[in-house]
Amino acid sequence: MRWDILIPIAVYLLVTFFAGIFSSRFLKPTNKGFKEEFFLGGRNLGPVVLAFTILATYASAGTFIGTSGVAYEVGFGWVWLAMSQLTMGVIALGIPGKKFAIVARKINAVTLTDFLYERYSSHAIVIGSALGIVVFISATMVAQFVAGARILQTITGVSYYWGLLIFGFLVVTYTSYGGFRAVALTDAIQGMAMALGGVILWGIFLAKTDGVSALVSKLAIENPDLLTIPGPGNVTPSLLFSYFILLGLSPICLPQVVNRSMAYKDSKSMHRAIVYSCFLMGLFTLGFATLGPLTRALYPDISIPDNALPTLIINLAPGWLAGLILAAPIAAIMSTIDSMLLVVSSAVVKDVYSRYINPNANEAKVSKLAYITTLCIGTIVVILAISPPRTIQFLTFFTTGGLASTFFAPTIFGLYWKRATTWGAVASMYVGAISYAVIFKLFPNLFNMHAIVPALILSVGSMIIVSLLTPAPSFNTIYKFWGRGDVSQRTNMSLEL
Amino acid sequence: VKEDFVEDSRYQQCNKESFVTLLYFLLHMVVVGGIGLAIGYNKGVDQIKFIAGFPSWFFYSSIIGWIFLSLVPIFMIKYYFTDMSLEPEGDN
Repeated sequence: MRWDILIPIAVYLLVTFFAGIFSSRFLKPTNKGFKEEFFLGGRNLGPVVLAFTILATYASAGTFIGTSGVAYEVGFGWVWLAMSQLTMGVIALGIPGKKFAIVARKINAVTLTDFLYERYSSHAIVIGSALGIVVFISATMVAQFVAGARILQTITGVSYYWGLLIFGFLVVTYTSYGGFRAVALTDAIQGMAMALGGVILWGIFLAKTDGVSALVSKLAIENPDLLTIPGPGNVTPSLLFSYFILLGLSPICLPQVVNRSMAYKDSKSMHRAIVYSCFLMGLFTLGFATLGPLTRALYPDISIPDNALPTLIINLAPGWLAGLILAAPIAAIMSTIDSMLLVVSSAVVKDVYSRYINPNANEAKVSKLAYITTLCIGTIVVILAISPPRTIQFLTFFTTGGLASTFFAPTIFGLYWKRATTWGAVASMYVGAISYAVIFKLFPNLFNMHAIVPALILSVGSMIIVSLLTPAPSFNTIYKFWGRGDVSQRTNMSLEL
Repeated sequence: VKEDFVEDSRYQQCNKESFVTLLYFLLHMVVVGGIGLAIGYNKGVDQIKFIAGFPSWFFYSSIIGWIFLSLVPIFMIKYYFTDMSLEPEGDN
């Protein structure tokens, strides 16, 4: 057991935990109602928390451990490929944009599903999106828990099961207790830990090794392919393009990312978050992944690539500092899981329970249910992670693409195209999800592209064709989304009728 | 009924901002992808130049590209984005 590494990590975990628990107390209660508070923090995010919560939610174990591991094996080409996620924060805030924030306020939407339901008034859409969220996001959470417990095991010697239990208990408890405010606040702490970890690591790296030039010259002799593109990773233009779509563009419609666009306080917060997010994402991505190929020059015999970065850190830094740096991937995992947990819980409580099972439930009942549901889903996911699937990276990439294929066309076209119809949305949602799964399984190397590209083309195509073949949306819908004036009163009225 | 439909006055500006963001995404692809491909694609290790220790294609596309793309949003916000209320508009 490496106590010197474990103690700083444990301290870090506890700080995050208590920040999450107490965050709900320091904040003034508002009159906006429980669901908007618990699932959206009362639409009150400022710029720094907004930028960090978007980036930290999206950047998971993959960014820190996975990418640097693959880069250890195949070289700089993979770091370059990972740079396709650089502008993800700017794109995710800018393309749905203020229009999404305005519409969400008009129709009182708290989740992406709310938005889709108000736009298309279709049960097929609500059920499809709730299913997509529960299945794809729960699977991602399992993978993240597994990654977290494995990192703890590798670096500190804590057994996998104890790591999983402690880790699971902390994340699930503060998320259930504090809701979105706890998630956003802890995301900010975790984002800072990620940025700081990268900076400290580079400081130590430059101080303790012969520097980049010497290591790259060593690589040029021993593993010259690692310096070239396409190189051993076969990073061709088509693969690169498909990753721009997967990691750069498609996050704009991931439910756990897009609900941040409903949650910012005002347009100034959004502007400043846009300015911060490209710089920070570059810090996360370059800060860790670039060290992958350089670690190869220092330690050429690491058999499990995912251990490349932890090995480098433990060998270069004294134990307590290694613990501090390794808090970064742990933070990345926690900040991804907590947001996902809340999105799944909102799908169950808001989209299924409040809409279909008991629409007249009072606030007290809904709040109790939200706490319990979040706790239950968290517990189930931790239990599923006890016997981990073998292919974790595969699972994470698969689910991101799956969510994007399901939600991209209905969300973006619903927001920007008045002519998008219910049938167009239903077609694009199901064609996207199913074609994605089929292409991923049967033609994994179609034109050396990730399956997201053909699936998105099919999904967008069905949106356009089916919409044009079916009658235009009702005047009521257009008025609700595009019209002037406060339509929230009108929305409630039409629901009562 | 259709005559009383007036589009929310903020949407024109919102659409413009989204379009600028889309152009920024294309710029991202050109800077990171285009420069990397132009300098380094299919070059053997003996043809690669090194800057600050890194292969030049990586240095320009990813490191300089990162700094450049971090600065662009400052100007995007300054020249193309406007502050506005996000609350539902009154009928006044």
